[in-house]
Amino acid sequence: MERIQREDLQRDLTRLADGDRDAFHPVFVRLWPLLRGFAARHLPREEADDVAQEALVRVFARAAEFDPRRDALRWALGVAAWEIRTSRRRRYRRREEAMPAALDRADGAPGPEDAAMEAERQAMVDDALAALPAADAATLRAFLAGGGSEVTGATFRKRVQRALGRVREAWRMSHGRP
Amino acid sequence: MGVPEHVLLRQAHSAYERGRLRAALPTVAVVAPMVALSVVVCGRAVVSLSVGMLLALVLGGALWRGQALGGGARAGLAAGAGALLLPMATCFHLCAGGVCLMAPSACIAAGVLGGAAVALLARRREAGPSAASAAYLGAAVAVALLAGSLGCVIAGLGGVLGMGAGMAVAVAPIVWWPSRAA
Repeated sequence: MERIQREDLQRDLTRLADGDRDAFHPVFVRLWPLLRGFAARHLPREEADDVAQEALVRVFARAAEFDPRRDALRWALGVAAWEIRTSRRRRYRRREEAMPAALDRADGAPGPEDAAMEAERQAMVDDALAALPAADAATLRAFLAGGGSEVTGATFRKRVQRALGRVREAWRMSHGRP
Repeated sequence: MGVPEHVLLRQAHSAYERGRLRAALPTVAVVAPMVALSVVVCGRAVVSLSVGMLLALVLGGALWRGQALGGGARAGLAAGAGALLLPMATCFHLCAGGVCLMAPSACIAAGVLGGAAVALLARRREAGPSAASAAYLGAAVAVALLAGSLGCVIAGLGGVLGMGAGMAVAVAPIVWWPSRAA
């Protein structure tokens, strides 16, 4: 979102929080595509629209509580992120309930759901590493493998910390959470 | 699959209005202890409850609408709380002797003080007359008058009227002054 649009959203949401109904439509028009895109980035397509709608309704339900000192965009995305998390939790719960008992492994080994989640998590980690500079990615791979790289001790620890900071930032940007 | 956009717009609109009502409730809830105090101290439960209900309605409505009305209602509640306590305090004092002679004059004084407070707030908020400042002042005076009446119930109808007159006397010159100067 561009700076001017962001400022407009801030101004209109502030007016709406104060009770100015004329600001309702501008806020709706600005937020709806934004929340739709945000949900589509984090959820499967068939779920994203529903969750974006729920998030939008929730944003308007809480508009009167909006504190104008806060950033309007962050606030709205925070509400949407909460809805996305709720939707994910619901989805996992539904899957768990629908899972037939026969699929439970007697030997305690990871089931298909666990394996799929692990694969998804691994893919997300790989994506985050791929987005890092090569040196940072090499440092983290060496760290995960349990050893050092060409450097050891305090220098290695410092590089790991720096790389972890960057991976956190990249993760936050692409997945909307730390 | 999601609902069509015009339905979503309607849902968002009603969610917004419900949200505004919900946000007004904590402030409206302040009326409950005021009414309870009035019932206990003044001993006229029916009148106190009626005035309290009217105050809750006016306050809730103004806060729900928001803007100048909401701001005025908040200012009026603060000013009215003072106007509520003053007659009660004086009455406590004199009722020890079995007489409440000071209550009516305390109501007039509370009205003057409350009226001056809301008028000064309205004047500070916006220089010169406008629809917004009129709405602010109207809501503030209505809420302050009703809140103060909860305390003046102790002096009967005369006390309530005295407080209203005191408020009018205080509000008029303060509001009139800047428009004349301009």
